Order: sequence, then structure tokens, then C-alpha cells
Amino acid sequence: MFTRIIYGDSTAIFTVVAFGVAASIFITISWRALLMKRPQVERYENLPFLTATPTCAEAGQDGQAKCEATPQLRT
Amino acid sequence: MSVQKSTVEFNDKVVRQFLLASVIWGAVGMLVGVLIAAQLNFWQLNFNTSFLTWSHLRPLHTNAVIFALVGNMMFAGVYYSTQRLVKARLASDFLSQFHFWGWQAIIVSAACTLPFGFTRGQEYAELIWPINLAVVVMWVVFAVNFFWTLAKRNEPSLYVAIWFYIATIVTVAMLYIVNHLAIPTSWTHSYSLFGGVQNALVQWWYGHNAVAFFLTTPILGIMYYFLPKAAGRPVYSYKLSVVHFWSLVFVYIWAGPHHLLNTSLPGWLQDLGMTFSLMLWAPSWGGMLNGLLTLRGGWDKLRTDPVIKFFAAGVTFYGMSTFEGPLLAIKSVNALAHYTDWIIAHVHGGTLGWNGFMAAGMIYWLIPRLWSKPLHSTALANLHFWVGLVGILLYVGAMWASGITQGLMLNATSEHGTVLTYPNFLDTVNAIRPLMLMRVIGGALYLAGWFLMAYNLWKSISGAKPVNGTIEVFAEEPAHQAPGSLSIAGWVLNPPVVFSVLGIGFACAWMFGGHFLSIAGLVGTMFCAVVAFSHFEAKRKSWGDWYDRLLVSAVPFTVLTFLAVVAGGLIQIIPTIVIHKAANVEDRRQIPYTPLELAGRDLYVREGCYLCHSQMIRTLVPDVLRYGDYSRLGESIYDHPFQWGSKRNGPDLARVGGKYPNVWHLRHMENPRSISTGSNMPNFAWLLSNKLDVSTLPRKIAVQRQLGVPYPQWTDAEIAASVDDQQKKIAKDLRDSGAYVDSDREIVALIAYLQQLGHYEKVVPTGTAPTLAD
Repeated sequence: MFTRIIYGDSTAIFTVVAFGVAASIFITISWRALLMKRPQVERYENLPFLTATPTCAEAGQDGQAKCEATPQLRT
Repeated sequence: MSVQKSTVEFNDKVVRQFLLASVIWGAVGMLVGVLIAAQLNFWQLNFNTSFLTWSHLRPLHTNAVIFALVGNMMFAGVYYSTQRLVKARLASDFLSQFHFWGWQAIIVSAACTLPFGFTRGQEYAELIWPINLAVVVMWVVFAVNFFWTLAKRNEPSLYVAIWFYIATIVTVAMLYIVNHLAIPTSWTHSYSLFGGVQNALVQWWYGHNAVAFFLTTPILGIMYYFLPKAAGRPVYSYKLSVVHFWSLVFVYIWAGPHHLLNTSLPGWLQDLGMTFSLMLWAPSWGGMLNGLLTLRGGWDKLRTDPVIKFFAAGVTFYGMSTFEGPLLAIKSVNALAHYTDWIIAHVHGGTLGWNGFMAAGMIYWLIPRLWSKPLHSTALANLHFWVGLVGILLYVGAMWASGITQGLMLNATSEHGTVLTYPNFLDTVNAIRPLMLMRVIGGALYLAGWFLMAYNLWKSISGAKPVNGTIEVFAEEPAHQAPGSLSIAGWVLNPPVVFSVLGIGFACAWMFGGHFLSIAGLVGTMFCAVVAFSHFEAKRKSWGDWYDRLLVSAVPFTVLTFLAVVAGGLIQIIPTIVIHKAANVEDRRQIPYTPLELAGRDLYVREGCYLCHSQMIRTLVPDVLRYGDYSRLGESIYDHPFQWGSKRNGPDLARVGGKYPNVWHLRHMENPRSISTGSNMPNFAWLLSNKLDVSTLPRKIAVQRQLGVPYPQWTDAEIAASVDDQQKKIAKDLRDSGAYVDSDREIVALIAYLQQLGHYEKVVPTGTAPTLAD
């Protein structure tokens, strides 16, 4: 089958089949995503906020930088 | 069952290390970029020195910005976000440190070898084989550290950023290993296992997906973590992020052949590459919109917060680049844009805009969190943004105009398409010189912005205390499998996996099998589809449960992601391996190089000639009018590595053999301007004085024979005699033309190679390939 793969028209089937497979996967995943329930979505989308990432803000009018105190400082 | 409370301290030391390395190496990589951009305008900046010559520094620039800037930035972002998303410290402090120092050693090794011509001759895959092995080891270390951390996690759910990281790790491993398969001829040289069209396909399968899975998916993961954190609100649509991930992973891997449109790559592969590239529009823009809409209600922060500025602009550049990529993958657009600066504009829109700005946003966000001190100057960060943005726009705008101008000039014909309007290639180079200069200014501005960030970072962390984040976790004892996750048997023996495997098996039998097997495969595929649909209708809940449980099960998730990406590669590469056999080539077949020509070819690779000169005349009228008959697949079948090229700073060389006398090449290599007035090509004068090393030729020819090149069983003496004979003939011809050079100089070998280009034999219908001995 492959010896004339450069010239044979039959090889167009690869492109068509590949497109079909990818399109069906795309539709399936989209459908699954649409079926996700609100509590499940909320749980996932809030995962980055479950761990605090304290920061230091720029100095205010008092000239003192303000760092949130949660983390333990290690040198 | 007891509940234990413990405090986890994150390993942020390694995050800080990678972050600093990214800033430092980024500056080095971009400094080299500005220099090589200037060299295209002012050839004198090559300094007549081999290791400072454009073609030696260009691989250093690309490797530095990809693997050093983005690589280090990616590791910093992945390690920081993963620890917090899974509520666990990195699994091993030793592996983390080994990963960091090992990666920096690789970067230093690259910087010490590439400028001196130690290269494999394939873009973004130039590093020599011992460094390739080190990269694989370091990637495995990264993977073990990452997956071990997932195994120890205190949060069962896997956020979408983790999905992108998993896809990155497994896919880059696969791509890197396959594309770097080679047989060494010495400690610093090897020949790729693949040759000709096969090599071209594998290389661009790697090259394209290096962009996809090294420069895109990890940064998308970083976007999905850091952008919501910076904006202070969850991602706009988590559902959209799910679709974004799966469609991107399934589609991206197929699009590599769009780098080889209108070449001698089989047409079905070109169609496949173009089709899947167009399909990429949907997931890419879905992801971009998801990122930008996360800022909904918080756009006022754009005025004051440099982090949001960088992220918003970075995601916008992602959208712009991923619109432009599929556009360039349309064959007719590609006919104009390929080999021109338009591709350079596209690449830099992505790297400077998407990668560079996302890196800057992440770094500015992390500084006050990794060191107990606020950012030194927000104003300076804002200045960095504007200087960088103006730099990108100048750069990209100049390269768009340059690429389209040169493309139009190179393709322009008159007399009803029978005569080139601009037959002299240099006319097109000189037309874009002002635009190339504007590119230098744009690049320099972007680099200046980067230096502002480095200064800001330095001032911020001077005297600051590094701080490691902590979190309190509540773990149940004993630690069991997370509820709902899949067991080993559970992720194999379930309806979706079973029906998918059966369906793919039948489909393969249908497409690849003989007569009976093909019919059986077709029937089986249809039967499988009907049964799967019926089962889905009847047992809808079990299918849904499996998917939900997959999202909290790292191992099956990783395996399925790997299968998704490996499928695209296999379907493209396996048929190409078969057609690559000499016996299957029709029309024309390459004549194997003589020993001296082979030595000359290795010099051609060493000097990086492929970075400016293609060896592929496309199936396009202007290409054929300018360079000669279009290139056939069989004409490069013995080329390990292939040298089709991807950019024409100079003309194509596929049929340059015999076009000019030997002395023309000698004078041209010594000083291109003595032959072509106004040329911007560097001098390669050292080739006239360097003595050719022929001691490695017997080993190289033996390896070529192993790779399937039909060389006879020559003895060392026969090889030496062949080299000597051809050298003397060329040296005599040069002498007769008034050029005096010793016959054992490198230039003689290079001339031998160049004069052979474009020679082929007609294929004998019986099939077997003749050897040189014949």
C-alpha cells in the first residue's frame, strides 16, 4: 500500500480519518465539559486560592513596607 | 480513623534559583539575538572570526532563549504552582537541586560548543549527542520529581494547570528522544538515524511541537495558575479550560508538516498538517479568551499593576500568534511567507510577546512573595512594559513588512509568469535592509526592558530575606488512595478505554491490512462504533463516572495524555519510514557522496550554512524559474541530517552544483562581496587555511553504511586515495583559474560538496539501489 504513497490518491483517507477522529474527540470533550455540575466546577476553579500566597506591598505613606505575616521566614 | 494536622513548608529555594537563572540567561540569549540581527545589516560585525559568525551564533541564540530563558522560567513556575495546587512540598530536595544545577550545566555546555561549530545540523536540535543525553537525564529527573510530588499530594483534585504540566513532561520527552536518535562517529559528532524526507518530517514534528509543548503548554499552565491569582478571581470558564486542554493536546501534535508545505513531502502529509493547523484556531482562541476574560471586572488594574499589564499583553500576543500560525499554514499563504522574515515575525510575536511577557509578569508577581520585600520600583516595571511593548511592535512590524516585501519580490514574475521580475536575489535583500535595521532597534529596546527588570530584581532582593511558603494540611491516617480515584485495573478495564482500543485496532487493520484484513477491519470498526454508542446510551452513568474519576487520577491521566500525543506522531512517521526506502523511491534518486564530498558536507553543517540557504526547490513556478527543476523526494534520501532549511537569507542551493566554476566558490567563501556586490554573507576565510581532518572519515562512512547509504566496503586506504585524488583535481582546477590553495584545505572539500548538489540518477524501474561500486 505504501510503495506508491507519494502519488496514490487513496492516501487522502489519512487526512479524512484523522480529521474525523479529532473532531469526534473535540465534540465528546466539549459535551463532557458542558455536563460538569456547578459545585464540581467551583471546586476546581478555586483550587489556586486554597493555598495563600502572602506578599509584601510597596511602602505606604508611613514609609514602611507591608508584608502579610502568614509564612514562616527562613533565611 | 484519625486526622493529623501538619505544616508543609514549600521548597521555594529551587523556584528562586530557576527564576534568577531565567533572567540572567534570558539577557545573554537576547543579547546574542540583537548581535546576530545587527550582523545581517553590517557583515563586519562577524569580525572574520568563526565563533562570532552569524551562522555559529544563531543556534546559540535560539537554544538560549528556548531552553535557558523559557526553560528556567517554566521550571520556576511549574515548581511554585504545583506545590501550592497539590498542597505538598517537592518530593526530593536532592532531585530539585540536581535538576537546577544539571540544567545550568547543559546551558553552559551549549554555550561552549555551538559557537565552535559542534552541531547536529538540525534547528533547535543542534546540541551534540553527549549533551542530548544530559538533557534526557535532566528531563527524567524533572519528571520523577514532579510525579513523585503528585503521588505525595494532599489535594486529590488535579487543577487544569497540572494537566498542562503533565502533557508537557510526557510529550517533550517523546519528541526529544525520537528526534535525537543518532549514531555517534566521535565524542562530538553523530549522524541522525533519520535521513532525507524522513528526517524532515521527524525534525518538524519535533520542531513544531517544541513550540507547542515547551513554549506553549507549560506557559498555559502557568497562565491558568498565575493569572487568576494576579486578578484575584477564578478563571473565566473552567469548562472552557477543559476543552482547551484536550483539543490542544489532540490537535497540536499533528500539525508539524505545515513547516514543509509545497516541498517534496508527500501531499497527504501536507494536507494533514494544514488541516490540523487550521483546527488549532479553535482551542487556541478559546484559551486566549479564557485568559483575557479572567480579567473581567478588573481591567482597572491594568493602569497600575505591571503584573496584569504583562499578563494581558502576553495572552493577547498568544492570541495573535495562534491566529497567525494557522494562517501561515495555508498552502497559498505559505508559498509567499515561507523562507522569509514573516516567519521570523511570527516566531518573535510568540516568544517576545507570549513567553517573554508571561515570564516578566510571573517574575514581578513572585518577587515580593519569594523574598520578604516589596518590588523595588513599580514605576520601573511599568517602564519595562512600555519599552518592551514598543520593542516588540517595532520588531514584529518590521519583520512583517520585510517578509511580505521579500516574498512578493521573490515570487514576482512577468511575461505571463515565464520570467522573474527580480532575478537577482540580492535585489530582494537590499530592499529589506531598512526593515532589518528597524528589527535591531526593536530587539534592542526589548533587551533594554529586560535589563530594567534585572536591575529591579537586583534592587528588590538586595538585603531581602528569602521566604518559603507554608501551609497547614489535614491528612487522614493511614494514607489511602484518594476516594474516587481509579485503580490500575479500573483505568484499563472500563468502557471508554476498551472501546477506544478496539476501535483503533480495527481501524488500523482496515487501513494497513491486506485485502481480507482490510475488510474485516472495516466491518469491525463499524461494529465497534455501533456497540460503543449503544453501550454509552445504556450505561451513560458509568462512562461519566470514569471521566470524573480520571480527573483525580494522575497515572491514568498521564498515560491517556501520552497516547493522545503519540497517535498523531505514529500515523505520520510510520508510513514515511516505509516510503523512505530507496527501493520505493520513484523518478529520481540521490547519488551517494564521495568521501571528500561527505567531508565537505560535514563542513557545510558545521558552518551552519543551512540556516541561510535551503536545499529544497518547492513545487512553485517562481522557485523553479529561479533555482531550477523542483526537488524530488529521492534526491535527498541519503542525507543524514537533511538540509532542506527553513529560511532563505541567501538563495537556495539544491541545484547549485555545476552552476559556477570552482574558483567562484573559493572567492565567494573567502569574501562574498568580491563576487556579489552588496552581499551580507559573512566571510568564511578560515576554510582556506584550515587543514581538512580526514582521520574520522572511515568511521563516518561506516556509520553511513549502517544507516542504509549504499557505500561499498572501502578500506581506510581506499578512502584516503579517493579523497586525495578528488582534492588534487579540484586544486589543479583552482590553480588553472589563478587561485592557489593547498589541496588538503577545508575549502576544497566544501567545493567538492557544493559542486555535487543537484546531481541525481534516474530510478531504474526494477527497484534496487545501485552503489558507488557499481
